[in-house]
Amino acid sequence: MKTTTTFTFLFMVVLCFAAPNNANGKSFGKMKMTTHIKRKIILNPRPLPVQVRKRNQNDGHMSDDRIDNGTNRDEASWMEGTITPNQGKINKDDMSLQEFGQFRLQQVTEKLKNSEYILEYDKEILLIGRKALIKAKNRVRNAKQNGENPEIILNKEKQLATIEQKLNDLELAIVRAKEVIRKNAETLKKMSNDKKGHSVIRL
Amino acid sequence: MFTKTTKPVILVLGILSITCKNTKKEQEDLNQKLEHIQAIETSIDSTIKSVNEKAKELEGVILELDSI
Repeated sequence: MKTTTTFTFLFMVVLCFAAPNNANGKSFGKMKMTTHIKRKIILNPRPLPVQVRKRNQNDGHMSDDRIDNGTNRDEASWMEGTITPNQGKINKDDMSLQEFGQFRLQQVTEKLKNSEYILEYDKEILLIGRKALIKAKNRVRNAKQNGENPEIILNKEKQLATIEQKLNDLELAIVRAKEVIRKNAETLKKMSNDKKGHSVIRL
Repeated sequence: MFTKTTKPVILVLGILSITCKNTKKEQEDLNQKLEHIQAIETSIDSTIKSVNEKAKELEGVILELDSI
């Protein structure tokens, strides 16, 4: 009888140690979230697919008629969290840690896909810029041949060189971003696979 | 040494301790996974933000190009 009492006491002690996982009255399967992930979780809406800018074949000028359906960069500002999401906040307390993990995985996967759309949009800007640069260079060359003021020509050439550098910078940034997205997509794909190797989330 | 009553108690204690251990490990794994996801999200955000800034700047410059 004495031994039984001792073991009952030990049993109670073990239960006390196990209690922190069970403090919110949930079962052991529903684990309490740690503080570091307790932040506002907002499910961002997926923006409309970025419409490819209509290239004005005639003059290469930037104008509103190049943007189909009024889609513009502002619609991509969901990335910066400036757009109030339609879906509203997700109540994290209603989820177990596993469910929350799945939710976050899906959320970031969606973000990754949207990033690809945004990069396509940026590539269009780059293309427009390249074509406009070629035309501007031609205009400067013609002006030079027509004997225009050399000082003005020199200034214009300097301007062109600066803009070309900006174009190159953007191109490099796009290439790097694509690589980052590719690597992250691979990581997410690995993470989304269950123990049997089946993909839980389609990427 | 052990009476008939104590044996089931030991068994229950054993199972409980294994369950608790697994639950803790599982929680740690999940927390690590969540941190990893968070890091990926931050990486995507900063990369796209950087490209967007450059692209925005260029949008303004293209207008300038048209006037050259």
